[in-house]
Amino acid sequence: MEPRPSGSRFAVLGVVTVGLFASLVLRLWFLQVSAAPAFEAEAVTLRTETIYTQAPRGRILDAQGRVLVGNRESLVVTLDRGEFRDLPSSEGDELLLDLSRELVDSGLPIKVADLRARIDDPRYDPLKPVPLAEDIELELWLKLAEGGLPAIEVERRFVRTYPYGVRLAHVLGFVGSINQNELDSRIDDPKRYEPGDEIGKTGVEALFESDLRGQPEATVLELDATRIPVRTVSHTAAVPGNDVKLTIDIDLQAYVEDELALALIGARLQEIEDPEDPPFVAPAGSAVVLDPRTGDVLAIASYPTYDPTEFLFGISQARFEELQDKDNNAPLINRAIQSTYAPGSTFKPITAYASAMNGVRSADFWYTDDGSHTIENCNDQAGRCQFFNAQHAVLGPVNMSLSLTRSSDDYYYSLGERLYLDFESDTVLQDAAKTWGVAAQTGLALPGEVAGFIDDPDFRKDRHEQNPEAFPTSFWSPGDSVNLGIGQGDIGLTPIQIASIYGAFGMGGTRVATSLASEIVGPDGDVVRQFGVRELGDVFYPEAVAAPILQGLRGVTINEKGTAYQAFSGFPLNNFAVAGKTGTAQVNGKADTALFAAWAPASTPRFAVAVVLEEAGFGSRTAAPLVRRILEPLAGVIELPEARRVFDPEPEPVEEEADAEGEDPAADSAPATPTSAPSPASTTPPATTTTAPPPVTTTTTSVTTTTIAPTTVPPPSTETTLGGGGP
Amino acid sequence: MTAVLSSSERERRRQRLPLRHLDWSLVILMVTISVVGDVLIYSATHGQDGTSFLIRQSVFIVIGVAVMLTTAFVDYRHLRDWSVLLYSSAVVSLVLVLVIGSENNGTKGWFELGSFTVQPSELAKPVVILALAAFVSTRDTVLDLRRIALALGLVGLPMMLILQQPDLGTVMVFAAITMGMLLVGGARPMHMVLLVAAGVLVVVGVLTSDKLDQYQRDRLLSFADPAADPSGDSYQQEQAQLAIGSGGLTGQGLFEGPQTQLQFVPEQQTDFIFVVAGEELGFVGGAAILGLWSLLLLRIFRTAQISRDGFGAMLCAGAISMFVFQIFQNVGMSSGILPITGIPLPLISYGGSSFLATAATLGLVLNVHMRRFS
Repeated sequence: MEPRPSGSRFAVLGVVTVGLFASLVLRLWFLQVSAAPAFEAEAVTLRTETIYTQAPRGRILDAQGRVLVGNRESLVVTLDRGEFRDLPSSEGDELLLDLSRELVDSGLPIKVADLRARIDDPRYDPLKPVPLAEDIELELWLKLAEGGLPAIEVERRFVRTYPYGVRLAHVLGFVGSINQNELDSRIDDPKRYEPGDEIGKTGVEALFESDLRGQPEATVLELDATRIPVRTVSHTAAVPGNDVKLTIDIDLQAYVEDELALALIGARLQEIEDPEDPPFVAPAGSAVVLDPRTGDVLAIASYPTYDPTEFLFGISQARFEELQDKDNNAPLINRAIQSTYAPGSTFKPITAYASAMNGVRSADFWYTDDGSHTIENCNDQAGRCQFFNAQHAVLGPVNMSLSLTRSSDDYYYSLGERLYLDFESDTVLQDAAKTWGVAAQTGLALPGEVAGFIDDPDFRKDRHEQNPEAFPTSFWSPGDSVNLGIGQGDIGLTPIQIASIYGAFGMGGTRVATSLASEIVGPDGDVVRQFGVRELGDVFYPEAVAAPILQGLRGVTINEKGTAYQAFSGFPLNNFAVAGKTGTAQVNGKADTALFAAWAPASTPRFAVAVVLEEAGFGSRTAAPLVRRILEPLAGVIELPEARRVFDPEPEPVEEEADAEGEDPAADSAPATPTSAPSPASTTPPATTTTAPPPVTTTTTSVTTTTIAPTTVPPPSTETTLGGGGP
Repeated sequence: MTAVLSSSERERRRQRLPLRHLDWSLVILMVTISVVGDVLIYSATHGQDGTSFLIRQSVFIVIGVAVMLTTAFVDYRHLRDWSVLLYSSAVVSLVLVLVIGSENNGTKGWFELGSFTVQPSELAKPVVILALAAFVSTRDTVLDLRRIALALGLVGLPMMLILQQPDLGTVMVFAAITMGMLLVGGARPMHMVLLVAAGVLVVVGVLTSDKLDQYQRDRLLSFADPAADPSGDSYQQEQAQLAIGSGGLTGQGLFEGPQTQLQFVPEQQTDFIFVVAGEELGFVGGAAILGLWSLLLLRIFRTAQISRDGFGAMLCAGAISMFVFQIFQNVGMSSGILPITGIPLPLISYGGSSFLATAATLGLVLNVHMRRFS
């Protein structure tokens, strides 16, 4: 028998075995105990994917709870780009041709080139289907849903509706697809944003984005190794966004918008006195009504306006630029908060206040208005020396009250000069103005609100040094202060600022921030948040100073010599006294800007109003009548007309809207934007017997679904008509 | 022989009957590990294939136990006489498979027999152990260079044939068997070192030659540099690590491992079966499997220790070398410390040929164990 191998040799084999097994156990310990949490987390992210679906956005309501911005479902055709690119190009071409034909047959003139443009549009999330056509007919939608065409899918999407059409468009704003910057800045937002989601871009939609946005539906899917979903791990239902209730009354808003448009039309009809004078183009204007006690904005109008439905499915760059083009008077601009105007004579109460507070001239002092003011020791090189009254009027003796009532320029020219020359500080008038809120935002917080400006010597010097070409003047001359005394020169106020300042004057110096929203209402109707009055502090405004100013401003409408006496003739000033001031601001090369600012009732103010009409002439002739018209329903002179709705947000299948268009139904050769007529197959929701204005209940279904449920029909698409003032 | 035996004589004979000395603990361990493997295979496949893999592997287990016992019952010393014949038929089948075999994943290594396939390179393992043990365990205690060279030639022939398929993993198993058996068989330490060096040279040579298919080269290289991953092999290994890692200490639960159930790891019922254990049974389960195998190996060491002759001990040394290498390589690749090579986890991975080869090898060990007195 052969010898047995030595035990030591086996021992070596044993040691090797133990070593190898030990290293395996160590490795497993590292993987499964030390590093396990990391591996587990990575494994979960690898095999799951969360699909987010946008929740319906909250609505925007007026002060009475009427829906200003709602939601509706839109039937959309989409295309799966991945699937489309896998098709042979000839099949792809054919597919688009077929689809285009179907769309054209159903009344949507969408060409193959349009479809191609959509497919190539980089705005759309590469992972999500591209929308090719929106608001398609239910019949076509159902047909496409059956899936005859490759890569073509259908969806229901929520889109914004505007039951009042273009009303309040500037304030409401619009939503659009989220861009990369917005996405980056919301990376940790609990209401998770995905590429392609909609987000408020301007106005209330942007300001209250975090409230309006709903909590997206989240579905966590488990995928297998080939990325095919195998089961749903969890599902979180969508929570609709909160409603935002505004302080604005849509009836008043509509009325103000219409009156503003009418006033501009009226202004254009004025004849110029001198053929050399620039024409009254009256292209644009703005009107603001506030409650000076609370700062609540009751109406805010800017003309011209735009149609927010243009933004529903994305707007072309060209059209967007057109809406911002100054040559088209930039309809996108909300002039009430974004445009600044020289306040002209509406500034005079501030000059009067500065004078009284600094003891420049007693309110009782009878100053002789001789039609012009000449700066003492004037040196021509430093600027103008003589300043004339408007229309070279000579008003004779005026005290403070009368100077406001009759709008004496001479009186305020001289005050402007004194406030500059007699004080060590160069900015006595500017400082007084700032205590009232000049050159500061009113607190509205709406995106784009500007602060306005008021010039002073230091500011001018700095500005010149920074940019000598744009601002050639580096020094301040007394003439600048003279001009500033009547609200001319380097001073700019927004219409809402003027209204807010007048409100503060009416309230005896109590300043409150302007405010647009009263409360946030949850989808279940509970009030989530309320916005109270935000006080900005009191201006020191003693009665002795206030009384003559109030008297003077009341005189404007009630005194026979008042600049707005004519405009307010017949207005029940005894019951509803109006303290106001006309303004006529000069603009180089253009007709004057007409302004009127007021509060009413004069001693117990409930309303503060400011209107600004560009290139419209005298404030007394165009702006003051507009304010009178605005105050009429507020004073109970006339009944406030109910705002006309473009469509009922709770739609009933009535064909009246299509008729309201007033278009020749035979002229279908150019169906630029077709109105989808309610389908006859639609089943009407149970008709309510009462016709009381019920607030529309929120829709709570989630956004996208491809299941076919032909029970609801989208409301007629919002072909909006411009109320009274079509351009 | 007298007709009547005394009762004490009968008792002595009974004592010497080999069946009396069957190592039941090895049999029980073998069956236990096999059943654990079968359950893991079921977990890995029931989602797509229902019970078909479970049933087939169960059949393999039954056949395997029969093969093991059959191998055990023919006296291994008789097997020694047959070793030349067995070795020759193994070589012939390895030649044949290169001619008429079927190809799978670029490797031509299977005979198709109806719905089953037979992998001759697997079956060659116990045969080579047998032949090598027979050759090494002669009366000479010293394993000189000449005999080492002859031994290498003996193993080298089937290795060369398997390399033609090519099946690098099985070639490596043969190399490990050879090293282990030469070590135990008495090769000088210096020669062992030289052998290892030569082995490294051969591996480098093979890698740089065009012998290997691109995919095999990619596997080995992708381990060294996962970023350069032309074929997705490092994906496979990353997925395997991820699954094992996410098992944690106690696992996700049998049949509950998401990565396993969602088929994230390819080949998980065969070469990557340990991933299923790792994810679903956790560190505890994986360590338990290694523990069961350790006990089994301990039984083999014990058998080597008590074997009646050097031949029996060498058989055990071959079995140990083969199992240790396969387990280390298989678990090592699943847990990411070794490159991917297609080596099954003995008794646990799905596959008939591998299972039967393992069973036959264990049968040899049982054989040695039960004949320690006769």
